[in-house]
Amino acid sequence: MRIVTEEDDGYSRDMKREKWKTVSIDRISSLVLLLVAFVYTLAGWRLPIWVKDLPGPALTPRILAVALTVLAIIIWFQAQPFPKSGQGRALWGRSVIILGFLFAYYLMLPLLGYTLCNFGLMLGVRRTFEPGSWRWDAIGSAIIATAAYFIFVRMFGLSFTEFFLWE
Amino acid sequence: MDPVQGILFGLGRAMEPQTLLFCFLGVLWGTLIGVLPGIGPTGGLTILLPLTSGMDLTQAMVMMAGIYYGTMYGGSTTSILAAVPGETASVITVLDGHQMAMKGRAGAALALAAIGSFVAGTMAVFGLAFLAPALASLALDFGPPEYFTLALLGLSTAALLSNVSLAKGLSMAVIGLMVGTVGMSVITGYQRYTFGRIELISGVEIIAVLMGLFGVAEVIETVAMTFRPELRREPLFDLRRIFPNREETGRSIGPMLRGGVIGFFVGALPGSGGALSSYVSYALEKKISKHPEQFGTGAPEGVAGPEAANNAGATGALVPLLTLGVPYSVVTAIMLSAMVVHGVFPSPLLMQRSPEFFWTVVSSMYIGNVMLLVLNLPLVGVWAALLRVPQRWLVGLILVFCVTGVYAANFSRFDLLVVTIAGGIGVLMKRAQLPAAPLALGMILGPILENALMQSLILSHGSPLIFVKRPIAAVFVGLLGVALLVPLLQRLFGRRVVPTTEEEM
Repeated sequence: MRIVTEEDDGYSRDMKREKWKTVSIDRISSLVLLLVAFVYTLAGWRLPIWVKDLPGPALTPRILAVALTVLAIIIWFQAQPFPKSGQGRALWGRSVIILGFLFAYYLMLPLLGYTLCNFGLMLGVRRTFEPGSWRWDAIGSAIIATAAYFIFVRMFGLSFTEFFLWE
Repeated sequence: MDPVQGILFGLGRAMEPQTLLFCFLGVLWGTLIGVLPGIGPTGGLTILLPLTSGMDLTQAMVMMAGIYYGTMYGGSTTSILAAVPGETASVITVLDGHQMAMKGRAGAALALAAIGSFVAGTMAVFGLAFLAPALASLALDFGPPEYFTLALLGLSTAALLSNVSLAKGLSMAVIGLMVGTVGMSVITGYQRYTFGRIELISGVEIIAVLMGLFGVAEVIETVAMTFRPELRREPLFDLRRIFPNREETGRSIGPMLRGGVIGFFVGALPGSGGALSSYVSYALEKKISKHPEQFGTGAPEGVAGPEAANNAGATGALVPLLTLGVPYSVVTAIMLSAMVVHGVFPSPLLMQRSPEFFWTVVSSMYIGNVMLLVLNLPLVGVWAALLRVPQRWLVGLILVFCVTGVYAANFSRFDLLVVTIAGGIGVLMKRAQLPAAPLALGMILGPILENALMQSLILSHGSPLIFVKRPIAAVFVGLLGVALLVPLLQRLFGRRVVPTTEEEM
């Protein structure tokens, strides 16, 4: 670690390129936050700020939108280099797969029911990350899905029964 | 009811079989969550939160508190045995705990962590019992302006301590407050940001967002960032000799006691919780040690102090919730959600209105600490063996818990969509180094803040000067100013330090 001045910022050309990449994440964050503030203001534009000299429903949202705008601008000017994790591609790939499983769970729940959806989720995760043999993956997933049914529906009394299989 | 009477009364209630059972389940689940890397106390609590709605509130809170400090206990196991902290408060334990294990003192390190946690946890329970009534009586004078400034101070400090730039922390807190404005405005009765969806009239489901941010996003990070099959082949240490020798015990007594005091008070500060407590304790022990050079090489003080502090910090974090009704950490904010679901709104009057609830929860923590000692010392080999469970099983199981918990909260399929979207946003936030804790805290504190703001402005006929005219509120505003200005001044007058090599970055 060393203290640097404006003239010598301590970065090689490669590091500067890397720095630009990482700085841009902060800049993108800043732009996204600005967009959120704008959309939030627009969506609540018709709400009154004051109602008969009393604070109205749009007072807090307007204050928040202004605060977020100011903070987004500060983030833009404070953009800092990030450490490179080297795991980016793996993270994105696995993120998309897991989120995809969850979205499929949301879509299929009314059709397949709680137990079959849990079975599918378990099997999907097992087959995607470090798969074993199909037979044991399927048996293990079936045991967990059935156990979840008995624990949550039978023991805790949660109303999943209308989704259990095709009942 | 004075504190001694209260504790005795609470112990009587906490010893009832059902309460004991929920306390046991809480500490068991907490230890499990703490042992498993990736899911911290927030995720562990969130997963079980929906199930608490069908339980008796006292038993639910006993269980949730058990989960919280159980996580602190469990987190030390993986830190010591595998150098993989189960949760953030145990990160510092890796430095000396794992070194002790490498020197053949794994059992002693685990015992010091467990005994330290027990000693400090017990001290913190008594601290809570004696301090809470005094704080609560002080807070009886609070009106809406005081609550507004107090909540704002807590939220800002949480953003400040979120380990990233203040602007990023605050921006996430603001986003959380924005999400909190969705739905029917309590004061004005207007519907805001519902876009015609019936599911949004009562607001965005907090449990679904928390589950997405802290459950799904954490799972994804665990899978993607720490997915290491070799962890399962980590050689396990000799755990038959679990008691520290005389020298280790002698060197650890002081750090345990100091850790208990530090942890309790630091934990009660806004936004700090167990993690900051353990760092402060470690820094102090190193500073006052006659052999600071031994820290990082297996010093028992470096295990006993921080582990004691993080457990006391977990109890200390309950002080603002139970005495002021304002949660200062995400975990206590989740507990607040559970209380609100049961129709109990924490306030300074909680101890007067629901003494049974308050003292049972406080006393159960002492029992929970005893349970944890019994669970952790003899069964440490069992917890260590959990590291061998394939991660693909755990990921699937946690996801099943997440979707079940979210759906069970309202029996709404829409919430499954919310948890998926929140999970995706959580991953993006991690990539952009935007902290999730201030967002969650903002979302939960949002309605409290907004109601207090509106009521204050109604009282003052629209003048914001009410926040500086009332002495207590003015003190909070002053503290808020200091909290926000110090980092700014440091930035303006401090020199910029950057790493000089890519490796250092």
